[in-house]
Amino acid sequence: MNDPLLMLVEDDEDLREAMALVFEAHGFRTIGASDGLEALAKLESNGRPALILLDVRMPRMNGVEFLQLLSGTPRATIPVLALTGDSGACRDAINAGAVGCLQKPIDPSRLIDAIRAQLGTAEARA
Amino acid sequence: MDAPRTEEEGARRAEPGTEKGDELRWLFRQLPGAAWITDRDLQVTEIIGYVEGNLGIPHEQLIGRSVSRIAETRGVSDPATAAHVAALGGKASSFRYRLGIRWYEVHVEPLRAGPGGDIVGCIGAAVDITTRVELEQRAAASEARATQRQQRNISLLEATLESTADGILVVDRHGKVAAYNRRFLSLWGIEPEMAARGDDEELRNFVRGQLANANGFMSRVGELYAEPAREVLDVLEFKDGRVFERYSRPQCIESEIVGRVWSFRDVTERDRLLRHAVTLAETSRLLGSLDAAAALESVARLVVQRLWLVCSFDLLDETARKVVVSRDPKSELGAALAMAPATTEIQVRELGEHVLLKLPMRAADRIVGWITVIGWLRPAARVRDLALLEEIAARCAVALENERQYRAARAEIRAREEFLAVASHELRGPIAAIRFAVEGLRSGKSTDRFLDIVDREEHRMERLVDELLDLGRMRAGELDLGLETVDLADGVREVAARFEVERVHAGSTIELRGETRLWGHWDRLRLDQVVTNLVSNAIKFGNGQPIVVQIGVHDDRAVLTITDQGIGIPDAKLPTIFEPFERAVPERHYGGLGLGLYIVRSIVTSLGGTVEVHSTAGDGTTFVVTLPREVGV
Repeated sequence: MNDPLLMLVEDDEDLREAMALVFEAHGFRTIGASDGLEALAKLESNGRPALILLDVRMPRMNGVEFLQLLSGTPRATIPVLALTGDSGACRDAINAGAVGCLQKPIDPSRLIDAIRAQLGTAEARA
Repeated sequence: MDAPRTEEEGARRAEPGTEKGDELRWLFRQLPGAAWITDRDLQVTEIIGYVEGNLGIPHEQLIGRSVSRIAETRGVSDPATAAHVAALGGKASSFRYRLGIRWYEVHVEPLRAGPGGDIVGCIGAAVDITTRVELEQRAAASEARATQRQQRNISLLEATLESTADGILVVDRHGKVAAYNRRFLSLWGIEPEMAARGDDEELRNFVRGQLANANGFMSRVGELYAEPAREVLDVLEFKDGRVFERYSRPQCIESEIVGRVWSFRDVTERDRLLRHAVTLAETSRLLGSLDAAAALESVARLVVQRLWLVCSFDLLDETARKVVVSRDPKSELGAALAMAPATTEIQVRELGEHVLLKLPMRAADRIVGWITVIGWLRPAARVRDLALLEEIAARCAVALENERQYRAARAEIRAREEFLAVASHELRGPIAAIRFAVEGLRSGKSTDRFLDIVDREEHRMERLVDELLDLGRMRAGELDLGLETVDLADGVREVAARFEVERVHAGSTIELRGETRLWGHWDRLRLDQVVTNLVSNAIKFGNGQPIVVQIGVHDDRAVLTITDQGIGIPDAKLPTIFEPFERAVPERHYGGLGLGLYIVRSIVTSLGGTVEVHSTAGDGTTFVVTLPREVGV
């Protein structure tokens, strides 16, 4: 139960499912959300993830709006890695508080390396 | 000389015979004149002074010669004989007498002698007055020349005054009319009787009523009378549209100002051409800007400054902008703008001493708005005014149309860029999912779930690529139709069944109403695409509310109606929802390429049908598709 918890905020269900399965195979626990609104709700009730992977382009509430709302909550210290298809959205996400941004299509092993690196930094800081 | 002076007479008789008489004769010969005595037979008895040279007769031969004989040699009109005869009759006389080149003043009177004073002859005297006569003649000739010159000058002045195209009025320093020409009267429409009365104030009051700015005119006249030395050139505008150039300068004699000369020139035509040309040139320059709204306001200001009193633009676009500019902001003329409705015709409305002109602005046979002006009523200029206004309207219309096309082009480019961003995002989704699935498959765990993901995402990508290919074909108008007998009702049921998972996920219900069988001659796959897109939209934007699909027949055309009670479409978006790259909702919030409705319309149109949308934001949307049951019918 000490496996780190990752939150996957991604509207593409298949992608979210595939990512969750791969992360679990690499020793992570995951919690999914299909958009920013659902993610905020799940953060309230489902504990504190070690890292949030955030799609930027999503219906209802996009990643940037999510980051802006998150910054006003006790969960603001959770590192967020943005995932997006275009560099403009990447910049917006970083400006809104994301610790990093990876451009889609993402190479799974690179993403896992990035997550590990981020968690290592977070641990070291803790 | 009725009482003879005896001593003198004695002396006259005595002198010539004496020594002293010789001296005197010599002396007299030095003087410019002569004196002589005749007897009653008019024979010269004595003569002294310088005479011979002029008469051409030696002195010795003159003595004893008769005056009449001397005169005969000089012609019948010689007055000498008559004067001597008159003197014998007691009458003295004087006359001018010409001898050769010399003139003499001749005086002849009776010579009396004896106690009774009997006339014994004549005594005459002649004084050379040649110099005086010449001076007199010269003076007379000079005077004649001067008179002639003066008459010529007066006639020249009158001819000049009357032949100039300018109206000329001369007034004295007290404002009394001193002179004018007929052109002045005709320019101002003044009756000759009024002009003849010569009252400048009466004239001024008569003309002021014709002017657009009567007060300005009167105060200017007042200023000039207060400053007699001022020279001024200005312009007078008439209510009837005429324009006069007014030039005024003092009238001086030597350096004294004695009055003022006003000249008026009708420059209406020149002014009109100039104003029209300048206004059109300025209008084009102002309309060169792509901000047509700001340009129209500048054009209205220009028009009001140069030609009319009020100018307004009403635009027939989504902004429904209105521009109103008045020359006099306090004027209530602008209220009359509301009188003229927006019609496709040219309107001319007379408002007392004003007139309102309203023209539609057309670009490519489409009315893009109206231009309305209010100015002074001047029927004579109406045709030209309307022609100018039409030209201005046409230029404004072109500018508005250019701006609209520019905006539309910009919006289309923006929409395309947005579309490309959406398309690449949508294509990256399946690629990312498949990559993770492949990564997952390597781990050997959850193999079936990963394979399902790969299968679904491969299909999703295929659909996206098909959609993009359809877009290309439809944009190029190259949609191939494979017509066959198809049951629309069956097609709808199939699509509804296919969307079962999405429908349940969204929380909506789908109710099928109407015909359960409806055959037509259509392209099965394309018809399926139409229904799929409309049902998919109804679920996506249906807000979890019930969806009704109605199948009916009207005039032998199949009518498919799909109604949801979802988020609806804002009015502003309705006109463009069937355009490619347009989406009625913020583009980032809903998946897909946003080409659905464009594809629907393209297919329906190819099948000879129509598609309509009715929607209220927040209340839901209804799409109505009608299709002829035979394509080409």
